[in-house]
Amino acid sequence: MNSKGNIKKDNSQIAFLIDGFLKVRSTTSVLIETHLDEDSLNAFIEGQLSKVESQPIINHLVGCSFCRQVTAELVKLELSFAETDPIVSQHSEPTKVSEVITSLFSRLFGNSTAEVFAHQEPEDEKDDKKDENI
Amino acid sequence: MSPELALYDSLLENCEVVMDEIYSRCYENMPNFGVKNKCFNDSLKKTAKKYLFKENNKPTSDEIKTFLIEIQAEDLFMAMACSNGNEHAWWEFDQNHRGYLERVSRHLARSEADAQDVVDTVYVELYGTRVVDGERVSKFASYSGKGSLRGWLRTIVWHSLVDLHRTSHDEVSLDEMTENLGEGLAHASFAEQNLGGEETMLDQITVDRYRKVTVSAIEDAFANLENHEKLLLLYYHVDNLKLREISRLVQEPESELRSWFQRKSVNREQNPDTKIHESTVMRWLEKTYGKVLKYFKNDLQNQAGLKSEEIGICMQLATKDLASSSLYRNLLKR
Repeated sequence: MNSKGNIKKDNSQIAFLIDGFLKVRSTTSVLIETHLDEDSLNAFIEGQLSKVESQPIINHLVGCSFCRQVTAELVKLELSFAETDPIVSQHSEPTKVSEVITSLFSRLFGNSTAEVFAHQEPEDEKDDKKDENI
Repeated sequence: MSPELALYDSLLENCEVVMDEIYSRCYENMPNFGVKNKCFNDSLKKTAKKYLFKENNKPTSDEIKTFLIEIQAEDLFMAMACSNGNEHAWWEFDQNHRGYLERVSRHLARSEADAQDVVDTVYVELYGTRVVDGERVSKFASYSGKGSLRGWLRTIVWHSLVDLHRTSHDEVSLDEMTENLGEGLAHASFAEQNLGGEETMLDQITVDRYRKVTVSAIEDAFANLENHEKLLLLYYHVDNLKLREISRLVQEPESELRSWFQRKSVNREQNPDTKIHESTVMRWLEKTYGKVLKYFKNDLQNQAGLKSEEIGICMQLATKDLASSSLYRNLLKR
C-alpha cells in the first residue's frame, strides 16, 4: 500500500479510537453547575461571535456536555426547521397582548389578573385601533 | 469601581455618538415604542461588557464601534420596549413573531396541546411574572441583540419545551427528550479490523502494558488539541451532528469556529463568503484525526518508549478492544 493509503487507514483507525474514547469520556464528564444563557447560546449558533467573544463559549462547550448537547439540538432544529419552514407564514391574527396574557393567567391560575397590567391602553385608544383593523 | 471597569466605561463613552446614531435609526422606525435614548445606550453598553470586555482583552474604539454596529439594534429596541410593557411594541412583536413561535413549537412538540402550552408559557415568561424590587422582570431583559431575536426566541421555546417535558415526565435526560430530533446513533462506521494472530504471540503482561499506554496516549492526544478541534470531534462523535449540521454551524463568514479551521486557507482570504460544504467539514475532521494520530504516536514513542512496530500493535489491539468496548472501561472507574 502506498503512503497515502496508509495515512487514510491510520486516520480511520484513530477516528475509531477517538470515537470510543469520547463516548466513554462523555459518560464520565464532570457536572458543571453554571450553564450558558439563551442569549450566548443563540449568538454562538448564529455565528455572531468574534474570536475573543467565542473563545470562552467554546471553552465552556468542550467541558459542558449539557450546553453542547443543547447547541447540537438547536443546530439540528434550525436546519430541519429551515427546510420545512413555509414561505408564507400562517400566524394567527395578532391580538392585544394584555388580552393574551390575561387569558393565559386566567387559564393558569383560574382568576382574573387584570389589575397587573398597568400599561393597558385607555379605552379610546383601543377603539381607535379597532377602527384601524376594520 | 475597579480600574478595569472604569477603563471600559471610558472606552464606551467614546462611542456614544455611534450609539446615538443607532438609537436614532431605531427610533425613526419605531417612534411609539417608548424606548429612551439613555436606556437604549445603557443596554448596548451592557451587551458590549458581556461579550467584548473579557479578561486580557482591551478592545480599541474602532473594535467597539464595529461591535456596536453589528448588534441587531432593531430587535433589541423592540425587546426593550416589550420588556417595558409597551403596548405598540407587543402588538408588533405578536404580529411579527407569534406565527414563528407557533411553528417552532409545533415542530418540536409531540402534540398540538404541548405546542400551545409552550407558546403560552413563553408569552408569560416574556411578559414576566417575577417582581424584583417592585419591578416586573421580563425575559426580554436578557436579550442582548448579539444574535437575532428569532434565534433567541427559538432557544427560549426549546428550553421551555424541555422544562415542560421534565415537569410531565419527572426527570428525563435530554437524550430521551430529543430522541425524535437527533439521530440517536453514532455515525462513525469504521470497519472492524482483523488482527490476525498478533495477540496470540504476545504474553498477557505485554498486552496489558500496551493497552495502558494506548489509553494514556489517546487521552493525551485529545488533551493536546485546541479547543475548537475538540469541539468539532465532540459534536461529530458524541452529539452525533452530521457533517451538514456542522457546516450549518459555521456558515456565517464571520464564524470564528470557521475561521479557526480556515485560518491558513488562501481560498478563505480570496472568497470569505464561500459556503462551507460537508466535504470541507470532512476535511477538517480528517485534519484533526491526523493531528490526534501525530500526538498519539509521539506519546507512545516518547513517553512509553515504543518502537514503530509496537505502535502498530497498540493500534490494532485498541481497534479490536473497542469492537468489544473493553479498552476504555478503566476510564469509567476513575
